[in-house]
Amino acid sequence: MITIDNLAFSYGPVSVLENISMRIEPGSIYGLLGENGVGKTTLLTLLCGLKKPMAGTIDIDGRDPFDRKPSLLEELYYLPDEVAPVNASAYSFAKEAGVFWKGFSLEKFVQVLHEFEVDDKQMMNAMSAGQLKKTYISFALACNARYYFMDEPTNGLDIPSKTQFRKAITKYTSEESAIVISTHQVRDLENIIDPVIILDKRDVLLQASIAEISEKLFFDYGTEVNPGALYLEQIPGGTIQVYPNTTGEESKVNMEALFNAVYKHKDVIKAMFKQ
Amino acid sequence: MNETFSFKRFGTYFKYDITQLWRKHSRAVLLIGFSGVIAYVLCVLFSLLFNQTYQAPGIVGRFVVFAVASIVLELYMTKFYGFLTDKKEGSDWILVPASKTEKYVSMLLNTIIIIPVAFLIVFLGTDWIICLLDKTAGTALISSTSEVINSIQLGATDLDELKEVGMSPVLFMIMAVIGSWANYLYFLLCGICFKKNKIFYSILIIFAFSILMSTLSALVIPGIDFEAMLDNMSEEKVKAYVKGFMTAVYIFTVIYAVGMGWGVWHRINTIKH
Repeated sequence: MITIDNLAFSYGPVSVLENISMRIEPGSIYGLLGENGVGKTTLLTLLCGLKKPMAGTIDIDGRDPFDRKPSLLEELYYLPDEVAPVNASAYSFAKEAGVFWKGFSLEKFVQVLHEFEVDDKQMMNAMSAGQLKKTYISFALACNARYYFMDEPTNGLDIPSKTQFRKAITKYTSEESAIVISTHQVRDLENIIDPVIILDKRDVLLQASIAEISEKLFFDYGTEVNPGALYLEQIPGGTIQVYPNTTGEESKVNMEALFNAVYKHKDVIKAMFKQ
Repeated sequence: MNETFSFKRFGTYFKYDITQLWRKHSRAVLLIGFSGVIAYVLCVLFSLLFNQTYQAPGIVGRFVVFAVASIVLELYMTKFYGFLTDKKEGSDWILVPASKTEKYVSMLLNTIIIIPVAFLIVFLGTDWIICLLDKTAGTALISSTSEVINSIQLGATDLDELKEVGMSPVLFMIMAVIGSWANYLYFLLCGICFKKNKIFYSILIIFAFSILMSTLSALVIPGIDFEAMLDNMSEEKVKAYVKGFMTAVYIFTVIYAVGMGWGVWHRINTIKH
């Protein structure tokens, strides 16, 4: 389990994260959402030990990620938004680098890569950005890590690859894994992320499962406008409205509408989910 | 699990590290190593073109090329692990599941032993082959080096005198090796600290340091009358001063090497992306 307590980070005088506290449990795919510049990528890099917190602590099963101990490093994989091209074939890259992750499977790498329709013999420095991303995604999944931190994993992927990514992430990750995906492409991933974390610079605005969200908020796709709506958006053929769920009726959570509702009514939503 | 150093994991990491270095830099290192052959070919070619005579470079010319190639290799040390300052590649390196100690030891082995030895083998080996095939080129650098060492060792009286002032050939050679390591580590450190213009900044620091030392010397030296000092000084005292000076040079060399090694270690420990 990952426990984050009163975490703070700043780039020089510019504060990015302040007093962030949350828990990340294995067995879930967390969606990390937030406006540009709130510190989603920073949080992911802090989680995998690429940065050191200015204040507060991060504890991953009793270990500090900034210590960069091999026992923790082999249990986690960080997939950045932009990945480095390597002067080697995808197969050689995976064969050489994979040995460091105790759960790594080369067969699995080749299988996932082929499902993404990328040739494992192709040189990585001759790949397109999308192919390169798919190679790294395949490598990440083949590592069988316990903790995954993925920053905008669907950026640069074409539509079939986005579908394939959703399939692969559910098919090839263990139930013991905790996956944190930071994304702006909520529509790409809204069917797989649960719970949702919405981040603000100075706070975690929301950390709740889809069931909890659906229990407390109602997503109305009808035409009749509700005066108590926390968020309302006109769409062709009707509206999307988010308002407190007073009837206990279930509805399909719309991530974009949820995100906008949370940002528009930070205190209301926070109070609602604190109860 | 041993979190600090495991021989098995180190072996795996070292193999991985050297494979990556070979993939990225083998061509450059070979080019530096083969610079003697390139210089030889160019020299013969130009002599045939402009003088219509066959003229191979002599030992002095080949030694100059060797010295220049050695300096180029030192400067190139900034490149081997320079990727650490790159956000993408540096992050990948940090997150490879090996300990910081294993990464550090592998880096040191590659920088101060594997790469310089590979360079020496290629450069001196090709030079030896050239001299074997072309007798007009004279003695091979490797043979002349051993000749110089032998000649020093043959003069037993000179050797005693040299030892007296702290300049025994063996100690001198050891210090030369430590000094080279210190230089390699200096350029390695600059490579993993500066994000851009790695070579330029590393040379700039040397310039700044030289200017500082020259300024300090200019402030101290004019106040000393060396001629008068030497006139009034016994031979024993001069020897004691030379020995003292040599000891200071050795101590500085060791401190310089250890300092650079510590700097690299500190950088590895604190690098963030």
